[in-house]
Amino acid sequence: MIPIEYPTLPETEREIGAILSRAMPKHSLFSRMRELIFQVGLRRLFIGMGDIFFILLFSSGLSAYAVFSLCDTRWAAGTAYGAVFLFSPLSFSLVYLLCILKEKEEGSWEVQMTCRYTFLELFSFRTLCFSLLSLVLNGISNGISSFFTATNDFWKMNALSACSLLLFSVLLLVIPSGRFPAISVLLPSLIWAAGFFPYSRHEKEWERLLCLLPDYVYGGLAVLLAIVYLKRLSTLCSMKKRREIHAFY
Amino acid sequence: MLSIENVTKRYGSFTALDSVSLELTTGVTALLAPNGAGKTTLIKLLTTLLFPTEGHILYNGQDIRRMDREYRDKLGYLPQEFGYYRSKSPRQYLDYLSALKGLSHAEGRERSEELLRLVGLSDVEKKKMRKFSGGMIQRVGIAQALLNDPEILILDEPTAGLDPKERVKFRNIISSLSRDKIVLLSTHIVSDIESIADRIVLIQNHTISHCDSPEAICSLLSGRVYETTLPQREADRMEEDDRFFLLSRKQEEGNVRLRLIPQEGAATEDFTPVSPNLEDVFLWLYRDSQEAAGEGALK
Repeated sequence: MIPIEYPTLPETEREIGAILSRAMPKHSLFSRMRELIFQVGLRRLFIGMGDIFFILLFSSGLSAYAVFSLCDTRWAAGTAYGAVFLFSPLSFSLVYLLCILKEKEEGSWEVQMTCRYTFLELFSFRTLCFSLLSLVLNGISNGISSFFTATNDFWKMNALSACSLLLFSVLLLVIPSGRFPAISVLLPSLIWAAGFFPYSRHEKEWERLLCLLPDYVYGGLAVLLAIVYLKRLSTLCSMKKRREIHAFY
Repeated sequence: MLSIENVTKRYGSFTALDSVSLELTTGVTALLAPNGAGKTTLIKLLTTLLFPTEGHILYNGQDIRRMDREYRDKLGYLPQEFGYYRSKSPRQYLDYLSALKGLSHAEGRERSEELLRLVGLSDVEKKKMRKFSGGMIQRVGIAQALLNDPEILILDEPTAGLDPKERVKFRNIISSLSRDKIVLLSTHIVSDIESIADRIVLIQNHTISHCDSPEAICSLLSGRVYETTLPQREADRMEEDDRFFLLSRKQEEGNVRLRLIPQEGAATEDFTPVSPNLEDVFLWLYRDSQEAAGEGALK
């Protein structure tokens, strides 16, 4: 008689577990965000963030004023696409940094990481909302600027604005922060601020280059960056894919 | 059952935990070790804040990382440094966390009320937490850990900041809950462990050295702990004597009562043998980490 090796109880349980986990529903970013809105509620998702919304509006107003002032005819090219590109992520980066600092001060991220809807899912949702809001506010300021200056095309400004904001957002998420998440904000901000120097020295050349490239190039780039951005947010929300978070300061 | 299978956690060249294996079942398991031994690392691995470098952690046969939300639904956690929103009341904070834990509004409300009553905070449920004492904050922390009626409750230094009356109440709560829950308790307060732990896990050299009932752990020093009462000067001399390991010293009517472990060969005729307690074992095992590494098991 051929002896048959039966699996032990722990082996059986392990195999059942493996099959179940493969069959378990996979949560997409969209389903997670939708579930957050319906289960947690918008009011709780932005608990204690009233001041941040105010800062977002205020800083958007400031950057809009800066862009509008630069749309003046003091430039020979008469366009301010470079300024739009550089200033677009300003309010978003400020808000993102404030969110991190707020969480550092409150320090309840560890408890929130062990809830069904983790702190990272909340953070991703808030980041997504703030970036959408920034896009809208940038759109409004671009609209006003292009209305008062005949040389700046509204659609080009918006395409540049979207590219810039999404590029910055992607940098925030892809730069590894290790034990110090604040580095993920400071490093891209420094890189961005450093961009002012070559721009200010060669304004005309930059403006000419930005004018030359057609709108669909910026549009296509914005779509590509949006895909990368959403994929990164999705990774952040998934425990199987994301890295561990050592600390949130 | 929560199974930790050959789990190792490394940070570069530093090993925080080395080939740890443990099975946690219903009842209270206490984690006892000095700071830096790896307790918090183990807790963070179990709460998915950290991931193992090697090995697996399984809940009923399933990898907890793969389980994702399903595991967190069964988990209640109180971290050592419990963060909270200072501008919110405990009611608002529990309401927020109950939503994050997936409870409906009505369930969350009912559960928050029940837990605030349990931890003795119902009369201050609408007061802002910035006005709370450390003990009150800790009680909010205990309440939030129980919000989703977890199957696995992990508490890191839960009685820190609580007065003796509150600590007794806390022990009673944990004892009553542990009948159908896996409770892992990490604390330095030995008296908390002695009264409620079903099992004690000792970590030495970043690995588990002992895992047994409190009685079995205490019996490691069976027949080796003594007490004696001496005048002040003699007590001071004995403290300097390497033949004796001093566990505690207490002033008693002008004399000093010493509790000690004599080394092998030291005279013990004038000493009274006493039953060892958990604190004796803790002090002896962790007296010197290098000596303990060399010793391994007690002689």
